[in-house]
Amino acid sequence: MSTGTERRQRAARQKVAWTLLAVAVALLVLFPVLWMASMMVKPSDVMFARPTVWLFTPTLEHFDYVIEQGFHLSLLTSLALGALSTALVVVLGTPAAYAFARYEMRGRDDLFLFILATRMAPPVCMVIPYYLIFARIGLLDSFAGLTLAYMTFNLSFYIWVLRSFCRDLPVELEEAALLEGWSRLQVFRRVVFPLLRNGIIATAMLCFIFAWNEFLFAFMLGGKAVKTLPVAIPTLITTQGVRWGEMAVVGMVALTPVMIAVFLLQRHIVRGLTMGAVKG
Amino acid sequence: MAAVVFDGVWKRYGPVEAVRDLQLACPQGEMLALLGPSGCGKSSTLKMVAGVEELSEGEIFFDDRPVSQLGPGARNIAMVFEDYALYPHLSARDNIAFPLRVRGTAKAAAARRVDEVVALLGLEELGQQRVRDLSGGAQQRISIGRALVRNPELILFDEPLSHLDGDQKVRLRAEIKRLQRTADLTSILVTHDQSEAIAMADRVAVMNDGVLQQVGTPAELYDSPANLFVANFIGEPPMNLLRARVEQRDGSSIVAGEGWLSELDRQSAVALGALAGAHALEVGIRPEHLVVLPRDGTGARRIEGRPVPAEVRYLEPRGDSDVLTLALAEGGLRLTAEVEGPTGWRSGDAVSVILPARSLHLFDAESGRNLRRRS
Repeated sequence: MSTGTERRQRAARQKVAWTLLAVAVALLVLFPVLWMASMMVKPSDVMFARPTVWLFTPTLEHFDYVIEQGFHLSLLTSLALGALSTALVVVLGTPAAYAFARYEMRGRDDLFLFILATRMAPPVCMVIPYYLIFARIGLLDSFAGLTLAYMTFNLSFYIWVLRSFCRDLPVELEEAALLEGWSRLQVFRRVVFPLLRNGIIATAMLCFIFAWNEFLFAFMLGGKAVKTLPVAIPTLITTQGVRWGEMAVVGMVALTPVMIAVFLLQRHIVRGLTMGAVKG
Repeated sequence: MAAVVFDGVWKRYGPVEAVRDLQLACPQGEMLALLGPSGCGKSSTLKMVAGVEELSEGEIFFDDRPVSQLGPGARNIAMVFEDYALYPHLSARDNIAFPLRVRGTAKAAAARRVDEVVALLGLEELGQQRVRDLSGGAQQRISIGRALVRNPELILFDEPLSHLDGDQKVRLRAEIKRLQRTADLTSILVTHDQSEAIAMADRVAVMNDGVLQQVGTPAELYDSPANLFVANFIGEPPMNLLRARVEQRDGSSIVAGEGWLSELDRQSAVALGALAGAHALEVGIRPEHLVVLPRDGTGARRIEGRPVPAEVRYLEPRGDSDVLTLALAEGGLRLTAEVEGPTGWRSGDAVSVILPARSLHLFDAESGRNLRRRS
């Protein structure tokens, strides 16, 4: 009896220890984010005061400056660019991934490897050819050009990932529907597509996050006309010094969608992986 | 319901010939099993009937109608799949009703038909449950219901019992057989499990390597296998196959191998007369046809044939029978024998084994052909 109580006490102590450890790790990870959050509303004059000023009247001066400088336009640009390029990837990539998973054709696997290979070179190697080509055909500094660039980059990744989702679908479901007299297109739309939905959402979110975070291409190809958030942030390093408060505001805005996306993504990836479990 | 005829059907995947020149028929109201090891072409054959794979050459007829140019939906075929292929988000009843819904059957008529099928399969309690919560056996019965609901010309069963465990397997096997008989369903069953094929099918087509080996009733396949492949594939434990040659001794014909011999009955002797000496044979004998006796010879007089000394190496009790692995005293050749049990024999026991002449199957060692079969 006494040993039982002892064991229970030890288990309880262990639990407390683990919880404390988890909290400590969480704080460590979250600290920069919380610090950034406090900087958003901290007056500039006490920003780096020594000793640290913990109590201050929150200010909105940084927000005003950010709006004044048109950063909200960069936010819209980033959102639109990410959404449009991802939408195109889904529209073009879903049938391609399905075809790669299901149809026998000559050279299919070679073609598939080639598609992945377009993603193997580091982006830096690609940016100069892109620049030269875009300069020739007048796509530099344009929204369309950057959308196209992101789309081609994400398409290979999307096809690669979604093909494995497609292969996990039991082909019998499609054959059963074909026997009921549906056409290939109907089967794709009404059987395959609903079953692939979670896979599509998960993969598309990864594409969106890539487009959202991308700096190099946006910087080189977008120029002054198309300024995404990652490109806009460094402009806060001015000749008069670094505008830390403003940087915190924009940084926070840039961070939030990604954080939300990752939380949602987690769930969808798990669902996506268990989705193929049709067997009894 | 229609009869199905395969006329010179080929299926090629690039250089691979999955089905070669298939000539086969399934009469109306019968169940035909396509049996063979994996990769033998049986699934490709089924998919060509269903229309989800195209023929490379040849034609498939339903009665007199060629169907190879028809899409799967136009053939009026139903299929029961290995992993059920039920729509996971629908209830048992909705799954059964699905083909009617796709065809736009009027609600009342559809409900009546679904009720009939549900009653036929005894699925009343499962009606509203989600299929993903049900056992494999129940799911497969629903899938059969979905196949039956629209009165198809033909039902295809693609390894329908593979994912079920023993008890459910046997029950569903009997159930499918009952439905097939009572409703006179023309059906084709694909399986790699000979016990399924034998238990359910009226006739069995054994395939290997894309080539049809033999078609016949289960009894025909068992009693008179066309070649070595069928001999080896049908029967559990498998047939013993022994190298042998024909000899004339003291005026009678015998077959002899390493460490054993057996007299031939007159009919075989005549059939084999021309081959004597020159030809290498493969002699097959089913484990259950071997006669095993104690070495001292008790009971030997009742059996015709020459006792060959052997030793019990291993014994596998199967309840009402024992499967013995024997080693011949001369040469150590291994034989499997199945005898009524329990025998009480143990490994190391000295025995005599008789290979009765009547039960020998004689095959050409080179071509594998059964030498006793005409044509």
